Amino acid sequence: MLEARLTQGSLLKKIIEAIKDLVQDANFDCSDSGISLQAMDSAHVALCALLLKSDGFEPYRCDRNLSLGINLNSLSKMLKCSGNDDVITLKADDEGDILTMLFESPNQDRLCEYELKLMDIDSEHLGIPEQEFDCTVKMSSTEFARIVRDLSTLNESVTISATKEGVRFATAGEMGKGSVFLKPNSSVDDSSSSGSLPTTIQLSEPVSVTLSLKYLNNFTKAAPLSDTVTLQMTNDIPVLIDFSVGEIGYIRYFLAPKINEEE
Amino acid sequence: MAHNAPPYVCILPQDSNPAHRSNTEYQTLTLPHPVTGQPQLYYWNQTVLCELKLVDFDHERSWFAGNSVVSDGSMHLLTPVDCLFVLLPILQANNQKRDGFNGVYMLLDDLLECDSFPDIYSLRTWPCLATQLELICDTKRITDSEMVYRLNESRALTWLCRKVDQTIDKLANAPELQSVSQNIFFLHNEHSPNATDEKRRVIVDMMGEYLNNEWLERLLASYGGFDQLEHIDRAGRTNSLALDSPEDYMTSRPHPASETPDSPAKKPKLTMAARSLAKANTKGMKSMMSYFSKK
Repeated sequence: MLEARLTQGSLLKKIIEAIKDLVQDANFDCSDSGISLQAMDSAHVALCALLLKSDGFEPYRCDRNLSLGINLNSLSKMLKCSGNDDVITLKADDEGDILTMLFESPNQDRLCEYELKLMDIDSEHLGIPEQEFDCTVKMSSTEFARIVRDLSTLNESVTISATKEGVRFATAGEMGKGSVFLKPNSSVDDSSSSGSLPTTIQLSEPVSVTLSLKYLNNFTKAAPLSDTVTLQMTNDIPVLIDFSVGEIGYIRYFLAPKINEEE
Repeated sequence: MAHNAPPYVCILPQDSNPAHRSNTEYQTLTLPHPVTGQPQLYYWNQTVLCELKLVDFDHERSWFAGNSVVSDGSMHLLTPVDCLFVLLPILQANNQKRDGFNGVYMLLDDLLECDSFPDIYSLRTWPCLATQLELICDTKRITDSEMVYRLNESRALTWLCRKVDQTIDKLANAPELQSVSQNIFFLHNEHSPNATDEKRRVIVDMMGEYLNNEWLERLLASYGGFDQLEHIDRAGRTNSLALDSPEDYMTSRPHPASETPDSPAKKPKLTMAARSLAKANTKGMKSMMSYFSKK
C-alpha cells in the first residue's frame, strides 16, 4: 500500500494545476523512492516529467510499486477542497481502485477525506537519457512567464537564441515584432538590491530554437512552485524546462522545437 | 491568371443546375468581411457567392493531376457563403435606427450603393435577393416594380436561429456528413438532454465567423447565453479567423474520450486551457517518440 503525508499540501495543488491542462490522464508511479509521473500531451510534442522524492514526505511508505491512473482534472477539483495550509495525506491499497486523500487543517480541528476513483490508463513510458545541453539558462520564473505571455500576443511561436552576451526571446507576427533580451547577471549584490533574480547562462555553443508559445505558456503554470526556471537547449532536440518543487523534486517539461523542413 | 504561373488545385462547388456546370465563370468581388468590415475577396458567378479557403500543407504534400504532379500540395476551396451574412452589416449601417424610430426604408439600389465597396452592387443580380431579403427585412411595395426594405432585427434573429437548427438537421440527416458531424460535435453522449444545446452552441460558434460581435451576442442571448460560451475570446477573434491547421481536415485524429470508453470514473470535460492547447499549431514539431525511445 501507499501512504504519503505531505506537510505542505499546497505544493500538491500547485503541481496538479501545472500539469492538468497539458495532460488529461496520467499514471502516478509510486515506488519506495517516491512518486513520479511521465506523460505526453495529446499531440505528443511535449512531455512532462514529475518527481516527488520520498524524503519530501513525512512519513512515506510504499511497500510495493503502484501505478495510480488518475484524471488530473478530477484530482484538481478534489484538491481544491483542501485549504492552503492543510496537510495532505495520500493513501492507496495495492489492489484498490481508489485514491484516498486526507486533508488536515493546521490545528487539526478539521479532517476531510476524499476518495478519487482510479482508472486504467495505457501509457507509453519513454526512456529519457541524462543529456548534456549546449546551453543552460537559469532565470526568474516570473520573468519567464511574463516574457512568454507578452510575446504570445504577437504570434504563436518564439525563437530563443542564446549567446555569451545574453538570451533573446523574439517573435514576429502580422502586427509587428517583439523581442526581449536578458543579459546574464551573476553579481549577487545586484540581485539583492533590485529584488529580481539574476539570469545566468552556461554555454558551450550558441543555440537558437523556435518553440510554440502556447505550450510554453502552459508550462509557466508551474512558475508558482519555484522562483527560478532552468531552460536547457541544444539545437534541433527538445528543450528541457525545469521547475524545482521546493526541496522535494521537480517538474520537467520537454518540448519539441519547430523545425523548418523547407530549408 | 498568367499562363506561366505554377498550377494549383482549386475545388469549386458543384452547380446544382447541370446546364451551368460547364460555363461557371467566377468574378472576384471585394466586399467587407462581415466580422471585421475589412475588405475581403469573394468569388461570384452571378448566383453563388463563394469565399476562398486555403488549406496549406506547408509543402509537405503534392497532388497527382492526370499524368503529372502538381508540386503545390495546398488545396484551394471555394465554398459558398450566404450573401445575407455579407448584407446584414450593410443593412444595419444603412438603417439609422434610433430610440423610438425604427429606421428608414430604402430602395435596393440605394442599399447596395457603397462608395468604399462598389462591388456590393454586383450582388444585385442574385436571383434570390428579393425573397432572401424578406427574411431579415420589413418590406413595402411602393410601385408595381419597386420595393423598399428596412432591416428588422427580430426577423434577422429568427433567420439566424433557423439557420442554426437547419445546419444541425443537415448534419444529422445526411449520411455523407456523418464523420463531419462527429468531428464537429465532440459530444460525450449523443442522447443526453443537453445534446441539442451543445450542438447549437457549436454551430453558433461556427456562425460567429460570419457575424460581428453585436449580432453574435444577440444570437447568444437568444439562446440564453449558453453560459459556458462566455469564455469565447471575442477580442482575439478577428485575428484568428484563418488559422485552421491542416490537421483539422484530417480524420485520423483520435477522439480524446474514446481511449478509455468503459472507464468507471466519469471524466470531466477538458478545461478551457487544455482545449486551447489542443488547438496549438504543432507544425514542424516532431513527436517526442522520435527523440526518446520507448522503455
